[in-house]
Amino acid sequence: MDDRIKALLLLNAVFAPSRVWDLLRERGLPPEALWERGCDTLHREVGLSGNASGGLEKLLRRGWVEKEKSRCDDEGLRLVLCDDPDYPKGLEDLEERPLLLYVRGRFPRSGPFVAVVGTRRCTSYGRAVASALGSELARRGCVVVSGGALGIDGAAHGGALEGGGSTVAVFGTGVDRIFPSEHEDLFRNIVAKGGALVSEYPLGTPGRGWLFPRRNRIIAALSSHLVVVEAPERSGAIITARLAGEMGRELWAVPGRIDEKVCRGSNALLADGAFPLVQVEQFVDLLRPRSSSSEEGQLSFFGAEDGMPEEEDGVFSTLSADETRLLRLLRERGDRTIDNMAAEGTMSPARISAALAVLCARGLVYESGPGRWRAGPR
Amino acid sequence: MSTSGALLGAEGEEEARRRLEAKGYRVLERNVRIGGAELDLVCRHGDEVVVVEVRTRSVGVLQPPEETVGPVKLRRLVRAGRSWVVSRGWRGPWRIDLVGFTVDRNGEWHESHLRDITAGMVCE
Amino acid sequence: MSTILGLTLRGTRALCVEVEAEVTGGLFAITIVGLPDASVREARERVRAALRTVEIPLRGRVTVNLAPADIPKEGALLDLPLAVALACRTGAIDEVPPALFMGELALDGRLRRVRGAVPAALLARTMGLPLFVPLENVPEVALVEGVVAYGVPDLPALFAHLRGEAELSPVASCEIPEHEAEPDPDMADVKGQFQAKRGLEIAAAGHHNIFLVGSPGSGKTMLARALRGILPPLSKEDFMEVLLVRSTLGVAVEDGRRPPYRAVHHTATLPAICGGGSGLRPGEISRAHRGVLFLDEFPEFPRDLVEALRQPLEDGEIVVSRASGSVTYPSRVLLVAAANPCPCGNDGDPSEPCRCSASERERYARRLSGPILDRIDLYVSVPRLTPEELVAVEGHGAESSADIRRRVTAARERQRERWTPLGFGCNAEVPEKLLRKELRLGGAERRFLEDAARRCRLSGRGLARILRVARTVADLEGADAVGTTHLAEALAYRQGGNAWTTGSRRFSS
Repeated sequence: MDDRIKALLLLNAVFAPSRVWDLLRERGLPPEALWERGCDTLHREVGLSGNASGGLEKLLRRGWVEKEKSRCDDEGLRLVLCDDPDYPKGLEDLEERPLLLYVRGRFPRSGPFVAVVGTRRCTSYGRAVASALGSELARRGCVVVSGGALGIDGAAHGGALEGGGSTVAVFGTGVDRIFPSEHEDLFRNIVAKGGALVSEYPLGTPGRGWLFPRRNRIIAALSSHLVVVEAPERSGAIITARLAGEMGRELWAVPGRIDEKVCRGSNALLADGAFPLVQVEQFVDLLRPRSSSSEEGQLSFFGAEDGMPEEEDGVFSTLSADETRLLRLLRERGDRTIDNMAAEGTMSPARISAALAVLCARGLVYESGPGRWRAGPR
Repeated sequence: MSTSGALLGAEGEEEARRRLEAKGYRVLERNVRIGGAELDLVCRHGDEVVVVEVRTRSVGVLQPPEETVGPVKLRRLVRAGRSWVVSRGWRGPWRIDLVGFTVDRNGEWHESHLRDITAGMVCE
Repeated sequence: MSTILGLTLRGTRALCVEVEAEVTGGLFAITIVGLPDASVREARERVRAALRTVEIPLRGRVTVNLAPADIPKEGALLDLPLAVALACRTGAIDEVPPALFMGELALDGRLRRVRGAVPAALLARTMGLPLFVPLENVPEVALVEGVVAYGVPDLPALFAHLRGEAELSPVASCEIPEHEAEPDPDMADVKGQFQAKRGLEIAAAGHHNIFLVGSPGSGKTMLARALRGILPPLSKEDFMEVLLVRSTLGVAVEDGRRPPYRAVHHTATLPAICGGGSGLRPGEISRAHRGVLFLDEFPEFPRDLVEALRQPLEDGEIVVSRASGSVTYPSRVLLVAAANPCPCGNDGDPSEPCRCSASERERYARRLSGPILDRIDLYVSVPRLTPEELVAVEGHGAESSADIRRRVTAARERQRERWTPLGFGCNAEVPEKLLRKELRLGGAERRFLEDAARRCRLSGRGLARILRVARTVADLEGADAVGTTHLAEALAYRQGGNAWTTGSRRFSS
């Protein structure tokens, strides 16, 4: 095995700071130095802490590196090392960059990377926005980066898959772990559709509280734009947003209800100067100015182009009269039940119900609460 | 007490015999020592053999006479009765009756006759 | 030796038991052999006391044999044949014509009501024998056609009859009572909730199991109760099946042709719901046979219980097994499951914020999934209406249960015509393959379906469910062919049509 891989695996496993590796290179020491020089020398020369070199020794004795490498090969995982040419550029901005990444699937090479993050405990509105955002971004060739968690993260990944694009999930566990277990299918689909599951943690690392905030720096660094959909104060998503801000990433937040606890953090970001994301399409247009060639024939689900009157909204031409009327009604005011839509409209409840099902299947409306409906975000 | 108790007992058995005969019981044997117990009276009533245990108490003792036969005594009676039935070659039904007397202060005898006191008991 | 016929229950079937009595000399004792259970063994005391009231003293050693010896006998219903056999043996009655006897004796010789009179009547009918039952059981026996039965008030009356001194009059058979009960609550009493009502209508028409999700106070329980009122009245065969279970349990006949409704709480035990316990009695699911079984707070039900319900829902019958044997009970129920959208119940409700933590909600969502959900065709969410909304829907006249029932009955009739030659009763029972063949979808419908399947990421099973429900929607309308409007409506009731039933899974497939 390449000594470089071996050295980086070892240093990564003992959570050695990336500075250790840099010093090793600077001093012109070969990677073998790690296991050939004594503990004291390493401490003096490259600043490896006593704890870390103790851990290193233990791993060497167990023959851990060889096992880890062969497990990666068996599982078809790729290791992206920090001085490989395909190491994501964004990560260089980190003070503490990961020494290597375990990658399952194909790490997308092109397209702006956009992080969509938020709380696990989101509202149905947050979920609908994250999904729409993921879908629209993917459709326009952006790569959606998120944390693979339940709630907003999952909705963003799911939306991206729906939009036919690729997406990257950065794990807070070993990349061979499935956490949360509900997302087993999602993760499988991410890989199958040309996306990647990524983690810096050694294989088999279980989910521990402090590992997740640490991985958030990767999400922030990988992407050029970060969107916080719904996040309470003091949450992982807010940490990610702060890190992204420090690294000069463009920070966006989706305005939420001011009486919802889960929106407090994201709303606070807006107050602190994050860009408000008020229209999905507009946001995506900024990232990927619409070129006439590829998108022409495609149907846009999410609303009108800027400044266009609603009547000419492309979507209406594909709807029946019932569906059009209903969508208009819901776009005016949401959170309605079938009963009160029937009470003011001219349609029978049965027709409303059927039309809603069609609109819902097309993602134009969604259920905001039991039996209550809203128009989807545009 | 013991003398007067034994006397009262003998008197009670005699009284019981008299009254049972009046009711159509034919006394076959008296005070049979058999099978580890004493049967006070063995009578014939209809087509049944009746083993009679007689209990006599004078007033002042709180317990009525019929309650003085406990489960141990009952089992002993069943065993003795069975031995009698076998030794005399009786093949018909038989039962155990209890005749209790309470003698009040005026010397009057009050009878209580309980028939088939083992009925419902699981006998083995 | 005298042989008298009695019976014991095995599930909903009565088995003939021969009661033989023998009296020999010895100290008085009654021994009962032939696998009697505790209640049969206790019959000794009741029978002895009851016989004394008709002046039949028992003497000597009495041995009672219950044949066949290998089936367990249970219950007090063997009191009466025991008493008759002993009376016969002691010569108090000369000769007993062949007949079946059942009944529990009181110490004073009266006969008490027993469970299992209807199975007994069916047995008597097949054996062609007259049946003697306690007077209190006469109403249920009267509903069984073609059986000669006598209601016996007490032991003296029976012996007088057997001796030919005073004849008992045979039970006059009567028609199933046409109990025209007011639906309680009537669908018209439920304000708003169109979608839920329509969902229940479809459920009733096609016998589809239904899942109601809604905040507390949205009226899920009321809706479930109202479902009973829109089900068609029981047919004669169905009524007999229901009667059989009720009689086996010893519950009075009260509802006439109204389908049963059973609401089960999540603290109920497995034997209480599925049947079992001593005597392998039928459980709630069998009690709800041909009617509605309502499981409120569905996610609170223990996992093993929910798993245990799956097979009976599929098969329409449930096998209850214990060491003492196994019996089969019917369990064709219309399942209504209800759940809150989240543990506190307020998720998605505009008026009250949800107070649950993320992990609570995850756990809850997980409990809402599971294989039993395969058996549920319709998912409906029930909004909690605000006072203003309630006022707004006030003027819009809601249909009465009777009107809906007429449509349901007509739809059932259409299904019967279509499926009976193939051996099925309603849309929910028909296997997918057959269903697809019968549907004969047109090109437009096919396209619509393909499109919907892609957009909603429907699984094969999900698609089959939609077809099934669409068939019922079409039946309700009286349409022969399933059109896109029917498919679209069916789509509204699919699983995952709302985020609540699937939690985060919604975006994962």
